Amino acid sequence: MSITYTGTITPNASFIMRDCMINTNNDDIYFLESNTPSLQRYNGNGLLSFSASTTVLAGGGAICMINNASAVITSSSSTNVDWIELSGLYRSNLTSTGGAALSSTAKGQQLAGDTSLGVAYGVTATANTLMRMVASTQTAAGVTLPGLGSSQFIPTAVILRTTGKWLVGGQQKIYEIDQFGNVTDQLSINFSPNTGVPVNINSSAEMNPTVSSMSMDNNLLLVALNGGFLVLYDWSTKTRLWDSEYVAQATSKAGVLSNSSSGVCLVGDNNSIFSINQPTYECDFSTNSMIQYQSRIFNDNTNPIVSAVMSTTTNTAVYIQGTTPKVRVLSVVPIDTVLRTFTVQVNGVHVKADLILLDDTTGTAKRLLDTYFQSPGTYRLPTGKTIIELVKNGEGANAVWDESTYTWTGSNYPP
Amino acid sequence: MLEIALDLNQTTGQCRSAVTDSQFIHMITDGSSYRKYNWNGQQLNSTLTITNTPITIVMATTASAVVVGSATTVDVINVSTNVKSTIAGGAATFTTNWGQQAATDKNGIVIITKATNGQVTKFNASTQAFSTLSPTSLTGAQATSVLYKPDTSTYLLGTNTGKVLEVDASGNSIKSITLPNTPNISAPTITVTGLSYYNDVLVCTTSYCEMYFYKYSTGANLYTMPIPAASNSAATCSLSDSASGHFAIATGNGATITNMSMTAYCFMPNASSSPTFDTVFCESITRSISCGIEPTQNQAWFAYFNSAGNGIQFRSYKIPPIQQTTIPTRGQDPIGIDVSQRVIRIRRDRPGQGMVEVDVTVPSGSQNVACTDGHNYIELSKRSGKWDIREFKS
Repeated sequence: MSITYTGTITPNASFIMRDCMINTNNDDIYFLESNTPSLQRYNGNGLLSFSASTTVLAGGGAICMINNASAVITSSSSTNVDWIELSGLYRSNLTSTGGAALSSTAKGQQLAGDTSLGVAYGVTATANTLMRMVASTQTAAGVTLPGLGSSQFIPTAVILRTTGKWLVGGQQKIYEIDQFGNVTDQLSINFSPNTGVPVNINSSAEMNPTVSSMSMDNNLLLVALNGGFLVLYDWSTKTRLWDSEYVAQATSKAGVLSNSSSGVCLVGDNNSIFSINQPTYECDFSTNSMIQYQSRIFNDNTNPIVSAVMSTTTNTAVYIQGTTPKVRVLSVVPIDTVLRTFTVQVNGVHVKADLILLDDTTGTAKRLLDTYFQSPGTYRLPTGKTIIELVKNGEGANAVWDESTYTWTGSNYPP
Repeated sequence: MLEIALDLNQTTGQCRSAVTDSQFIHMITDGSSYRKYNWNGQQLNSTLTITNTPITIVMATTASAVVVGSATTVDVINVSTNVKSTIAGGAATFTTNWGQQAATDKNGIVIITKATNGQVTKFNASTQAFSTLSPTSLTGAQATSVLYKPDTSTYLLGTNTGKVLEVDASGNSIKSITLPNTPNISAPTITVTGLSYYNDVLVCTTSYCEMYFYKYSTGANLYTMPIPAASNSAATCSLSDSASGHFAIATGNGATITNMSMTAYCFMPNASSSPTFDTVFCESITRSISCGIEPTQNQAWFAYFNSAGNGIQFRSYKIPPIQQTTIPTRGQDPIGIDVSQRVIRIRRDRPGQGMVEVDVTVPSGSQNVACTDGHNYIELSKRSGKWDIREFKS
């Protein structure tokens, strides 16, 4: 639950920063810039020294690892894809089949890879269209999201939810897709409750919520929406748990979230209109099912944050700033937590249930988790706490409750 | 949930702030006007011209409202007769971009922020005299927001050096809390823009878009939340006075923010609990410059800094009752034998917003246990390894 500032990499002033990545195998830091264009690699593990670079395709705008040895890069000016062998930065440029280009707006989370399956998906600027890359065949192809009919869904952000499942966000929707491009689940987003149709006061244009970025920790999904809003969902039941407006934003802009590591993510400002230097925050959305900040680092300029990533194997976190290019490297140490899977069954069938956890360590109970979930569900708990667990299935006179009190060590299961 | 109770639109001027009671809304606007309304939205007075660029109005006594702003004078308004006195000899407030620039003990004393290092203005509405307080803890800093702390009859000052100071009406420094400014790539200048306090919980908002919850007696940071903030210079979110642990959140003044915003109020009853929020997206309103809660009406009001004809200017929302009440509870084990029990009451109006409001051990027999009127509760009873649960709406 703390940020330590490791240092800043100051790239060539001509660089147009587009995306960044951490190699979770060795902590190396990569960032993509579209001026040269190039991929730059710096030594991780706190060294922050230049390692190597390679020219990439024009308009290179998003990068992710597709397996433990390689990364892919998609472009905003081409439907081709660059394949990068990471140890030697050897580059192959591939022609996609029916692919589409990225949006030219620099932002993160436009590409997400499952390194265990060797599949990556990328958003594009074309309605209903994703790019799909497969490592085993080194191919790239455009994929039309099925079942959307005539609706024009522009995908704006993609993350890996779990192995074999991606979340693709856009206007008013988040779709879950599998490695074959099938839609397996979805979440509708709206600006509600509201006092009327949300509009832009100057243009009177209706504002529809659009996903800017997402961060997921097991069942909990944090979404940054245009207009500067953060919303927390339990993905298993699509229950909206918490929402907040977190910074002033122009209509089309929104926050930047990193991926999560141990239940925390970075929250940055993509389009600050402030004249002061907006911090980058460490957001804990998992241990209390709230949106709360554990710490922050105060920046030294107002430059927008383009992309942010956290390593899931070390404490390294990185965010990049545009305008005057900077790469900020942090060490983020989260709260000591362990995952616990909760099950609620009726006659052997997993059901939906209210789950409330209270921290009773001090003898005065305090909220630890509050959600409505589909069993089985995994959540993150701090260790060493005395927990009162309440579970409810059903409503009103038909509600069935259960209670248990235990000290959670990380491995014990309460009776 | 927040539901619209009342919209008050002005024909000229932008609403800056208000102060309310069970019968009236005393409103101040740009265009230097004071208007008095009832809760049906009827204007009851002739519009009174007041100080330039007012920002805060407080009821210094039951009869007199005091208006402060960019002028070095204050206006004292007899709210019954609609007669104003302009008193010279003061100083401009620190800012006119967010609320909470003055606070009163309601016995005539008003403490006002000031854009001068080390000083705040004290105005006595009874004697209509100014004086200057120079708390030692404010040396080298300026008070940027002010709140009356009723349990100790003192004042909390937010500063432009990232502190919250407690001072008394004589200017003696009592306590200080320093907000975190590290780690940093460049040291920030933190301005405290909003304050609220209830039952050992201090809430403050800053120019860096954070809302801190502190256990005031120990200075321990309990929670930090993102705040709705709408400004083109810095976050200027201010808060309302607390009403039984409930407070409203104003997004702040922002000239260039044109998208819709979120209106919110929060409840946190004590330092052992956790905050819960009620929010609503607003249709065309941009940013709120000040806010308040009127407990007698169960309404939360917001002054929206929109020009006439360009969005709502003052809106009040119905909120669930904030009054404390009691609901009896009784433990028996076995049935018919009264026993002592630990009672945990979880206020939970919807999934995700549950919070422990009360955790007490009560003696045997029927016992009245506190809760807040009009909310949904889960009550857990525990005794000697046994438990029982019920749900109710208070």
